[in-house]
Amino acid sequence: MFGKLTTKENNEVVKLEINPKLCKQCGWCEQFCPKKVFGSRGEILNAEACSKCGLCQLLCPEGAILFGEQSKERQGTIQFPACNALRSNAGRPNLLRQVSREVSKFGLGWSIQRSLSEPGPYFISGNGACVRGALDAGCQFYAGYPITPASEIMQDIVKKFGQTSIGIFIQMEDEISSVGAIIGASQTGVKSMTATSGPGFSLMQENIGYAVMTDTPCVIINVQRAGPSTGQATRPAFGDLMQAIWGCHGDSPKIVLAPTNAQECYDLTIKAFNLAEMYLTPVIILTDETIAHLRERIEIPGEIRVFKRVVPIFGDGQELTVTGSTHYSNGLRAASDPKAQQDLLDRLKEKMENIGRHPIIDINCHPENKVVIISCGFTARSVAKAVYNLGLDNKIGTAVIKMLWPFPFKEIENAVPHRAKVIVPEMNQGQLIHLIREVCHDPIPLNQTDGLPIEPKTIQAAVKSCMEKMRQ
Amino acid sequence: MKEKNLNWLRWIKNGQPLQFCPSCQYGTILRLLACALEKTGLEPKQVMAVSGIGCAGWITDRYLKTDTLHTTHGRPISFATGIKLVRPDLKVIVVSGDGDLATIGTNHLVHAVRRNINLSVFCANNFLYGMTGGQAGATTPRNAITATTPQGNPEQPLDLIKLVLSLGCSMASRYPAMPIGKSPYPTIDAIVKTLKHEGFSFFEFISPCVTHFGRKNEMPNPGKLKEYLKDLLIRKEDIASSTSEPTPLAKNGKLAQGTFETLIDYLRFTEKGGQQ
Repeated sequence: MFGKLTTKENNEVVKLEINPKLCKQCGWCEQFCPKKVFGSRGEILNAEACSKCGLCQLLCPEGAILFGEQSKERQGTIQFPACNALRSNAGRPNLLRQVSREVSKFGLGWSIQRSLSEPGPYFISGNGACVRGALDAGCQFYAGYPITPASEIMQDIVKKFGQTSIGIFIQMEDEISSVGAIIGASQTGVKSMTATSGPGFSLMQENIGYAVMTDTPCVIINVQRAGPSTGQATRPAFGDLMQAIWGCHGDSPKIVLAPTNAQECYDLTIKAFNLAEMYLTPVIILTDETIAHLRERIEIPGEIRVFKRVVPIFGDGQELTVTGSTHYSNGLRAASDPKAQQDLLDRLKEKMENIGRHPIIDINCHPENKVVIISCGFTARSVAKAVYNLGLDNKIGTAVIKMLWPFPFKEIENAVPHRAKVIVPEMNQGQLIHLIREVCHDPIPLNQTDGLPIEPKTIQAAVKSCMEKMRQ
Repeated sequence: MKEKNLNWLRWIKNGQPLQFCPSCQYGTILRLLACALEKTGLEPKQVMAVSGIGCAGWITDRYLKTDTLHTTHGRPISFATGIKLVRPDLKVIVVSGDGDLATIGTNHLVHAVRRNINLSVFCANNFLYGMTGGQAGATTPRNAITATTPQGNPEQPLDLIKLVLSLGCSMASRYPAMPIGKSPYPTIDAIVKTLKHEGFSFFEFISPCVTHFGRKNEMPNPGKLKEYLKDLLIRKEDIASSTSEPTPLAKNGKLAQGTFETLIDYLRFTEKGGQQ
């Protein structure tokens, strides 16, 4: 059925051939050939009529018609550049170390940078501290959408970008496109971030999952407010903890950090950028309205260690292929290969395990402890005050979790004495406690969802009643 | 016909057959794009192709020999915005489907036109959601039978060219992927113009899905589809002299084919024979 034509014209050999492996017998060639050379099933009927216009080669959807000298088209296997493999394997420490050594001469990898602000003490809000942290870490791209109580981050950063012209700012049409834009920018090689609050964070979930899938480093700050839905926009809560960790569809592990004060907002934002760039993953910073708007003293150091990623980026001329579909390590889409899916998810899990080896947690426990209070976010400060007020030395231990995912299960299990009662105060209906239950026996929840921070006296009362019960 | 001598095949990755249905015109769109990119004088490393989800999202991802980004459903323009802002020197093209760009992602399309960001957006309009099984979308013609409109589509389709021009887009073109006239070269020239345009430019390929749209609407093969396109589309040069009777599906009005620079320009042609 498939024909072959070779004619001599001006002593020049012109070939016309249909590749049976590529032809799907659709019949378009019959429609577009002006000389009616082809039949309705992709056969060459009337080879002599061919006027060698070359339309068939241009229009055949499958590229099955081989014409003239370019008859070697579409043979062999797809050759993808090695840069794609490097990209999907980054985040594996061995490879990273090996590559880092080679790229340090290009200014990539670890370096010591001077902070943009003068070193010394500052009196700023949590949101302001996040902005300074981001700029000092080398953030050069911000795309955002206004939302209370996170808008100050956007306003601050656009001012700073304008003053120093070190970055690019764009206000997008919604939170979905904000994350889209920062992923695009990040893949093009700049450190990028966005900030939002609960409702916007819900919109962002799909694209955050995309960032996980495509190994895109980016930082997303979620200044939590009381929900669900619109809730109370100017009131704090810690209700997005589970969403931050488990929010996207599919198994999409990502780093979640939770600062407790303005200083940590600064430090952890820098940490967030470094982790994102090192492990090529999105990092979510969970603050809340109280931390975001509380002005406090922070100390800005003169020199900061920052990491610049060591993988290929768009615009390098390396034919980088990035897809949110399951892909092989060379970037090639593998829409239905079970092994590719398994390997990809294993790699993402391995990445988190590597990050989990360096937990960020403040543990202050003692084997004599009768009660241990485990908390995160702003609540940790009320806990500290409550413990101070109670003055019961050695009887109360505390643990403040600052990296919520990968979760420090092992560290908590080792630190909390087996006989101690665990109290978990939270500004939600019980989210952190689910994770604590994995490693501690029967923790006691202390939930407050009135849109106000938990006060130390509430925690003191809970500790006292817990001790009463233990005595009985 | 200088195209014959151009080495446009260097823009297409060698390898396996395309993963499109038989009779799908998306392969042709890939080739027309490659040819036009070659004609602009750009190098593959200067071009960045962003695509969305759906059959049309696969046109560039995997097949075009440039950097490619295959994004989430409906959001390619927002990703492209980020890339273009960071690297204004790159020629960023967005290639995606009608469902992706003009149904779930209309919001981003509207705002990209409003910002007049220097992107070239190519919409492969197959009149429905092909990959998910042929459900009706925002561009499905009225009365067309699809998987979700077994009695015929009761809704008015979205005229994408009118939409983008009304927002101030300074170059919008509509051409069929397969030439219904004698040659595809006017299409390639229009793509070149779109690619070279400073500011936001939009290009709509009319390439109805044969598998889902064609078979359900009595045009199961390229021959019938070509007849339908001949009835549906009318070149802006021919509008004045048009007298032919449209087929039942094209009864809502014809679609003007050509390159338009202002809304007034477009409406002037459509008033005579175009879609209302």
